[in-house]
Amino acid sequence: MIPEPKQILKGEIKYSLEDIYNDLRTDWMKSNFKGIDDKKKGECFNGLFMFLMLSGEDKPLETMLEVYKWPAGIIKEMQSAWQKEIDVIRHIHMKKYLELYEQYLGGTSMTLKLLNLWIHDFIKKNIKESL
Amino acid sequence: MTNFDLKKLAKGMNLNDKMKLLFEDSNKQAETNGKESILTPQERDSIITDARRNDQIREIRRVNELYYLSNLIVIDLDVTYLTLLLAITSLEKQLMGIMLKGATEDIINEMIYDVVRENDDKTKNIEEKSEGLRRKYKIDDVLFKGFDFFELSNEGENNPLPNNRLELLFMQTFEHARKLKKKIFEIEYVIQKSPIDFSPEYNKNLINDCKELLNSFINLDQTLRPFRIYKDYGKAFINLAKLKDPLFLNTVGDLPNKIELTDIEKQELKDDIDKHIQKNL
Repeated sequence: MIPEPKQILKGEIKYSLEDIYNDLRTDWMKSNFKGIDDKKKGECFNGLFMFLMLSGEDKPLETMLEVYKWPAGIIKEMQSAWQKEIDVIRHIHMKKYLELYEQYLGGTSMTLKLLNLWIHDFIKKNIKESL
Repeated sequence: MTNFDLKKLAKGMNLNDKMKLLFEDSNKQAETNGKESILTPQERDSIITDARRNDQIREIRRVNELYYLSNLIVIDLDVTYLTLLLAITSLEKQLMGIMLKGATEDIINEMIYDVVRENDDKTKNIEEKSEGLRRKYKIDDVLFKGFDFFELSNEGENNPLPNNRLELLFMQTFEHARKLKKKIFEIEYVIQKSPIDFSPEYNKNLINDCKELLNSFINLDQTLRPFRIYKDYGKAFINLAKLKDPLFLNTVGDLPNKIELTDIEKQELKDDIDKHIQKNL
C-alpha cells in the first residue's frame, strides 16, 4: 500500500522510487487488458511511470505537451487521476534532495545536479528499455 | 611497605621479567628526563650480571635493539602523523570553501530573485534580469571561481572534471596516508618481534591516534564526508573516457584497498628492519 507523502518526507516510512515503481507495476500487470501481452503491458507501464515521474518533478505543461503530444486536457486529467502517486514521487524526490544536501553540503545547484543523476540512475536501471 | 631486594630476586627471575624491569626503568627515565627511575644503578647492574651469568645477554641486546629501533620509528611516526593531519586540514579548508560557496550562492540567488520579482513577475523576464545581475556583479567570475566539486573542461559542460585543486590536495593527502600506513606496519612488526611489551604509554597512544586518523581518512568521515561525492557520483558526472588521468577517481572510489600495502612492500619493510637489527647485534 502506498504511504502518505508526508510520512516519507518526515522519514517515518522508508519508501523509495523502486518501491513505488514495483508496487504500481505489480498492480498494473495484474490488470486485464484485452489483446495486450505482458511485454507490451510492461512497456505501457514504463511509459506511464515516466509520465508520473515528470509530473512529480513539476515539469511545466509546455514540456509535458512537447514530450507526450497529447491535448492539454488529457494531461491534466491524467495528473488528476494519479494525483496521490505523483505526490508520493514528489515527496520521495524531496526527501532524497534533503539527504543529498545534508550529505555533500554542495548548495542547491550542486544538489539538484546530484538529484538529477540519482533519477537518471533509477531510470537507467528500471525503465531503460523505453528510453 | 615491603622492600624487595632485587639483587637477590634477580637470580630467580626469568629472562622476560628481567627485560620488563629494565625497559620499564628506561621508559621511566625517558619520561622524566632522568629524574626518576624504577631501579637503582646497583639493581640494574645485578640484573645484567645475572643475565650475563645465564648466557642471556645476546637476547637482551636483540630486544634492546628492537626497543631503540621502535623509538626511532616513533619519531618518524609522530612526524608522519602530523603531516597527514596538516594535509587533511588543507583538504578541509578547500571543502569548506565549496560549502560556503554553495550556501552563499543560495542566499544570493534568493536575493536576486526577490529584487527582480519586485517589479516584474513574468518568468522569462525574471530569468533574463537575474542573469543580467549575476553578470553585473561578476558573481560567477570572481566570487565563486574555483569552489566547485566539478569544473568544466575546455570541451564544455558535457565533460566536467574534478576540482583541480581538490584533486591535487587529495592525492597529496593520500600519499601521506600511505606513508603513515607504512610507519604503522614498521612499528607493529618491530613490536611483534619482541617477546615482551616494552612500549611506553606515549608510543601506544600515538599508534592508536595514527590508526584512528588513518581510518577517518580512509572512510572519509567527519569533516571529509562531503568528499564522498567523488566516490558516490564521480563516475556518473565525469566521462572517464575523456579523463586524461583516472587515478584520482579510481583512488577515491576504492580507498581502503588503494591504501593497503602490497606484499612486496611489506616484505621490503620487514627486510630493512631485519637487516638493521642484524647489523647492530
